[in-house]
Amino acid sequence: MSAPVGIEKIRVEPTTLALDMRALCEARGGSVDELRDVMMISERGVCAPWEDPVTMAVNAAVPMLTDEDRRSIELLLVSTESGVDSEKPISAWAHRYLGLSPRCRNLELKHACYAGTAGLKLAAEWARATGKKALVINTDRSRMHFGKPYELVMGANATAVLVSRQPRIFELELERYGLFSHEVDDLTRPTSRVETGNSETSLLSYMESLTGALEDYCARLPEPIDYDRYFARNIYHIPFGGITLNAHRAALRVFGDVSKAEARARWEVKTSPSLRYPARMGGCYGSSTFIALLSLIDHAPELRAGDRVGVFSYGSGSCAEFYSGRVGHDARAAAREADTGGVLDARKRITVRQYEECEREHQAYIDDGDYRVSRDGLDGWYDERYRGRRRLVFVGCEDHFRRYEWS
Amino acid sequence: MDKAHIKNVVLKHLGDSVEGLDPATVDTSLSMKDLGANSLDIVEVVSSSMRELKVKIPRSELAKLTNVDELVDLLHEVAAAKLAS
Repeated sequence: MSAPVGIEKIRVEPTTLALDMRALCEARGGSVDELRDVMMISERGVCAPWEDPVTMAVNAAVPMLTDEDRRSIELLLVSTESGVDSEKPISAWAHRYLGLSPRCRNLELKHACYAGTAGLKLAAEWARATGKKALVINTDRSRMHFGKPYELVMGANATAVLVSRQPRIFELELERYGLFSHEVDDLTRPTSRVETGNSETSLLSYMESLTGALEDYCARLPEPIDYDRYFARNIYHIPFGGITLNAHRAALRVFGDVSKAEARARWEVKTSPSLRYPARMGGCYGSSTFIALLSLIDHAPELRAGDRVGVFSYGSGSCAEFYSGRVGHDARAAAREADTGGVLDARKRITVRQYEECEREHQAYIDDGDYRVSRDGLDGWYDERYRGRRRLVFVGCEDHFRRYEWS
Repeated sequence: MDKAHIKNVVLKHLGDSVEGLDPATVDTSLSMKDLGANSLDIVEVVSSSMRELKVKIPRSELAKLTNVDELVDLLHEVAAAKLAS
């Protein structure tokens, strides 16, 4: 029997700013009912002008890693669709500022929202083979979308996942997985400023990929399963919460017809606890399944060590994977250490105007080769929350080279 | 597979997805959005109809549809092509 492998630690960096999505929805003349019932989003994270995907990645992992972790990590994968440089990977800065050993492979992964899961699975196979630790970080932020329909499902955050042979939180069942790849024009980021797509094409592709990956998962098992009994809980990729209800019904339908009401009743038990933290963060991109796992552990008190959780990940473009794992022996303590609820509560609540100012500031310097980020604004938030607290901050660019420092 | 059957399947799933919508009185020259469906409802109707009819229509074609009649026509075309192949 091979050694257990999986997630030893997770930590979420939801940015230090939170926007009330009801306020944004009302400002844009949108439907508050749809925001609550379909989007299932109450807040979103917003990058301060002096933060970016690099600082979020580093600030996610810094409080989580011990000196021993840093010495043991020999693989660093940073997944993102928000890369800041087409040549230099975010992992290079992350490697430096996390103080990892030079004897460490580091690279950036891209496959839309699937890249985080791809990183996890590649890292887990590597950790199983080598006995070393791997760090997988997903970091993403949306672009400026004032007034667009999808502005309400955007966000900014990073998640650090330590993968090792001590799976305190989640032991992966590496032999149990299903894949579904197909090329599709659903979402795209063709330039440094544009992020666009066809939402209905993407949702249809998501559903087709879910049933395809689930059927492949089942085909690899030695015998048929009863979906509802086989999985104690189910996590589905969360571009917004409401899609997980459709996803759960689609998954149940692979095994037989089920009414909308029955599917909703099962979803309430199996999946809704995984949405609590994502609902407070907005678009979670490739971090969504990791944040959902922490949410599930913190909000499903009857979940026990050894319970099987099914996870579905989808990345536009596209690639999808359905895999499973078992709740780790020390999951609750590890989730408590992550203190996701506390980190979310500690954010500064900002107004719609302040959110727009932050987004405009990012947009203004995104292609600028010489720029110094202002630390004014946001009611002195830099001095209150950053100065002297050793968070990595983005200083600006000098001749196109990005500069960072500790606050 | 005749078009009337396909239309009944689509309307059944539309009625199942959109609260308060009576499939018997739906004006199929309207878009699903005009009939009160949100993006998730539309995905549900299309996915469920394809599953029940055992046909798959290209996602690129779906993006061009403007109303319920066009969805029924497309499903009918794909089903007929499948039968002929």
